[in-house]
Amino acid sequence: MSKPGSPMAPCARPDEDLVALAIGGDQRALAALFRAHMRHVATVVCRLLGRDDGEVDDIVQQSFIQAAARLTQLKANDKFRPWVVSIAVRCCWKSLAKRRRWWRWTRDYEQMVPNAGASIDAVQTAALLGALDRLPTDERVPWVLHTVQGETLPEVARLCEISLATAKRRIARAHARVRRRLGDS
Amino acid sequence: MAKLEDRAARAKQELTSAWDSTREERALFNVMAAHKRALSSAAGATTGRHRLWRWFGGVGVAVATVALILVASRIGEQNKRGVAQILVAPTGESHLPVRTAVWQALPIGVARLYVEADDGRRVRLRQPAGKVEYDVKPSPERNFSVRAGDVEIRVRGTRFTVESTDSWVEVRVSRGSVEVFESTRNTLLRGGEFLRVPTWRGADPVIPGASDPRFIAPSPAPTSASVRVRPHPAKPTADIVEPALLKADQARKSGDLSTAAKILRGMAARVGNDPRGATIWFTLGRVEAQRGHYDASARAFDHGWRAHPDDPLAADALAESAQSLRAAGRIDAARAAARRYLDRFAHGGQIHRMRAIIDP
Repeated sequence: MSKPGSPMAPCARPDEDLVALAIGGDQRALAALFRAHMRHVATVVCRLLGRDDGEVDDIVQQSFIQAAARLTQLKANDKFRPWVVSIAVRCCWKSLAKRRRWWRWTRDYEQMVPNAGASIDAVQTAALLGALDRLPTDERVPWVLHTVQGETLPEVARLCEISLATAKRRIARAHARVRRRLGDS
Repeated sequence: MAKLEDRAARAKQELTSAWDSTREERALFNVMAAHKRALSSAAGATTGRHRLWRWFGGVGVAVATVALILVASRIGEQNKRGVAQILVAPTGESHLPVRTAVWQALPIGVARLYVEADDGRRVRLRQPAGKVEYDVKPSPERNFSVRAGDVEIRVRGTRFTVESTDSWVEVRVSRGSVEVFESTRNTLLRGGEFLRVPTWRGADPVIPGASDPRFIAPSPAPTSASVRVRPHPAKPTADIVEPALLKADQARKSGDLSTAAKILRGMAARVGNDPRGATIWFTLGRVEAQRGHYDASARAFDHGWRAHPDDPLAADALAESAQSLRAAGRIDAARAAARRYLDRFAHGGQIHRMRAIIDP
């Protein structure tokens, strides 16, 4: 058994083999499996949270800890990456809901103000993130997954554990709200 | 105006996590360590000995929880009956000061003090007897009040002494200022001033130089230099302010902003230095801003924070004033207000917005 955190050689084995080995107790295979998907999960989490700070690291770790504990629940035909992303989406959902509850309680929304001399893109992104912060979590998550992350509607529905119709409705509603808030045409 | 889809595409580019090998190694290490701990605890839990310990632990936690609930409900009952927890009860020469991060109470001799509320933003004490010296750290966001007899003393940050006897309550201010609320009037005391108020009803406080020298109270009559007190304008009674605020709120909610503004402006002129004045000015500022009258909005916010600089709303009022000035196109005035905010509330919640006004 390998020591946690010890350097490991890149492993080119397919996910299915690594999952089978990891379920059998091979820690090296588990680490290789996680290493192969961590960056992708971190990017999804970063886009969902709208920032790249310590919270991203926390949620990535939390997602992979949950994935390690539930690896045996992964069905034979399921791909590992979408499965672990769905766990990360759930973690982000909880975190965003908590953030929103806190803001509603304190009535003190964080103001994302770009630095002086920031590019127009940065200013527009800050405005978009400000508008997203005011969206309900159940609209924000599907909208970001679809519009920013570029997931298909069925994939968004699967990741958010909602029906396709609900996903479409929430994305449309979020779209209208963000547009209205940004004064977009 | 950029299309929303373009903005989303740009956000996608900008929101790409700077996930590097250091972060990956750290995360992986934490995940694997947590997984290992989970595996070993799961293995340990299967042994009979662990199961027994877990059972005992569970029973212990349940018993402790029930005991805590019983104690808490008993304390709650006692508080309802007015038997609050005595925190300061020194005997003889020994003093038992109460010290928290933001305030401390030092009894002089024998004193009784009850903490009725202390949730960080609001501290309410009741001092039925004895003499206590208070030292309160300045904080505009916190309400600190002491009730002694029929007198309530409200402070933001100061050092003062309250002596409560069967016959009178004396408030003596060493530093800063306090506001003393009686049933019919309120008085502002500053450093070096003191006020003695009789506790029986119907007796008028006696001014210095009058026949009974024991009582010193606010009066328009000239006072000695060492005992200088300033009466506050009489505050409007609750039955005038509260219905008017309610009416203004209803008008605001129904979209009738001009009526709401009219009611609020009328009330603002009447309340003077009443503590509710800050709320009235602040609401008026918001209503005027909603109407698009940014100059009037800035004036209301400005008046609000100047008249009540220690009120919890003062910081927000100053920030809103800067925003309204900017919206009114008075950029220099907006910058001046923003600078004033940064000077006065260096740790306020609006510093980013203020910096954006100063240096757009």
